[in-house]
Amino acid sequence: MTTTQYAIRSATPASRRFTVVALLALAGLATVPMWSSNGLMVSLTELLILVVIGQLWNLLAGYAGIYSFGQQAYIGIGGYTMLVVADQLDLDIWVGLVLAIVVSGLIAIPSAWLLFRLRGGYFAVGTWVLAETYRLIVKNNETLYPSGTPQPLRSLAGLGESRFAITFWLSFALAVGVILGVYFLMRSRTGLALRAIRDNEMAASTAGVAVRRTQIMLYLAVGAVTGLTGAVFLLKAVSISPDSFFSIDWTAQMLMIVMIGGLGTIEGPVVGAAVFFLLRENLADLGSLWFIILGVVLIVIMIRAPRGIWGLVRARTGVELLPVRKRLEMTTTPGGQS
Amino acid sequence: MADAIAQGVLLGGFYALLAAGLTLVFGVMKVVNLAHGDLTVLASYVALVLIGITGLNPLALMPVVALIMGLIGYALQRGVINFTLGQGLLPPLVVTFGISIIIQNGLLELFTADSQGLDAGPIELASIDIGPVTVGWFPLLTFALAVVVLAALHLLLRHTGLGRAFRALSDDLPTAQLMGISTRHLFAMSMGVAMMVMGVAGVILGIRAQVVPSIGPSFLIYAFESVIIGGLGSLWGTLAGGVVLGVAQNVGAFFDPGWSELAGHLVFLAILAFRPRGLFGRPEAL
Repeated sequence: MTTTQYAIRSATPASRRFTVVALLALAGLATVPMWSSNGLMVSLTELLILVVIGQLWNLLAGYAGIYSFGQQAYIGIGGYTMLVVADQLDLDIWVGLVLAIVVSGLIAIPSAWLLFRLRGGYFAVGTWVLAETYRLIVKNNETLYPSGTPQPLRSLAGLGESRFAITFWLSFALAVGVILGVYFLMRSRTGLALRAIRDNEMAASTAGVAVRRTQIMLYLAVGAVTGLTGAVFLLKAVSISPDSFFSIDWTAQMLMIVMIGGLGTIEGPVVGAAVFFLLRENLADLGSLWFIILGVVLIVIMIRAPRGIWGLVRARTGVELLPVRKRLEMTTTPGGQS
Repeated sequence: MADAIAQGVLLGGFYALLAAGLTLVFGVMKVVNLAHGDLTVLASYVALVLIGITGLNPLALMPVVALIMGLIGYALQRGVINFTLGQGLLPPLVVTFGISIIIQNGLLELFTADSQGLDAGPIELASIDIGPVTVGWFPLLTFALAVVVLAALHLLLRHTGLGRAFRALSDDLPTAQLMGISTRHLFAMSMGVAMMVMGVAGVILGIRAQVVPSIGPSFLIYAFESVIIGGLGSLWGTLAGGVVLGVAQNVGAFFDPGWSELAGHLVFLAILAFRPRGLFGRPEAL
């Protein structure tokens, strides 16, 4: 006789092996500031921030069906919060980071109240208009944007050379935190609700998912973390202007990263950020031609391969490195002796 | 101040002209065309090139620009945007955003970042006193043109076979398809008609101000604000929405030139807060 055992698991053999590799890679990355040049650290910081913004946009678009073209609003709010806290109030940059989260989260509340009245594609344009509104408010403010010139973050001078390492570690911690956050969120009850919304909003609603409330809560959380990202980005960028921090280019980058890598997967934005970063490093010198290439790539991927690179990999191999679904596993052991 | 308001009202006519194409495309296909502003700017540059070739007045070339834009619109819809329909909201947003990036940078490559304008001759500066206010002939002409174009669209939608098909697609896509409507062709026709109106708007845009390749998104936003302020699905509401937006911007600029755009956004947000269906909103229909 045979005995059959059932188990409900998320992990797969591939994901177990990946966990080991990933831990080693992360440990390696954490040591970067001890041996690398400042130039390499800046590049890696840029890459990590791309991973973060891609991951955050994917959380909205890929999992919750929220198509925001205005997340630059929170990059700008976070950046300016850091500027005000560190330079104008003379507080520590750590206070700036915390307040960037708080202020962005607070501003996200009335923003969501207004935006979630718009449906479908008009929601997307609405988020863009709101980001433009915040940009213009900052631009017309004499303390934030005196005499219309970019403001340097003077507090950075106090950190000296160590600012490269601090900024790297911050973006590293942010990237790891966001990826783990998304992973555990997706494995939770809320994650199940979000995936249901992604697959079919109406069916999710019928099955008892509070679609609007879940979407709004997620929008607020992502706004707060995007604000933190803006503050960290200011530490890297050194100076801030409304036109760069509230730029629609942020949305263009988020879209590129997510579409190249693969919408609705955790691995996708990481792959997408790496590919986008390499493309940008090599092609950005082409100027407007580089942007034309970006536009063409965006259109071709959306029409020909809407699941991106990771979607293609998964369709071919079935590999999931960070599995969030629960599967039923059956193991049959041939018995007889007992 | 009275002058600012009068000019704002007339500016509203231009915004209604700008918004008509956006409304039509959304009504028929439920697609928000994020390249709307850039395609309008493209029309300005098409006019610029035609003037360079023929030496004619931009107003005389307006029908030709409209026709060229209409053909581009039909081709763009059949060649690209049709492939994004029926798979949710994201694909048309991403693809039209991609088109927007391509147009902006393509124009930059071809025409540089220098601002350029279309010269329509003495009418640009002529003005007339109406009671207490002085208004320009050209803004007045623009407003009249907007009314004529909206009336023509109204007639097209209500009294022609094509308009009936558009309304059928808008109301109930599956049933319209069952009745034997060719959606691929008709979606392209609706984009073609919308782009003809954008061609008209683009010529006006080039005459009334200098254009640069990167200003398209601003006009997407003004068109969108006019639509939402006026109320979704109402062509004449869009005119009212455009007027409200135009007045807000001009009154804002009256106090401080930097407040023009911001005042428009704030009025838009106030409408969204207190009257989310807009001034003349009906449930989404044409």
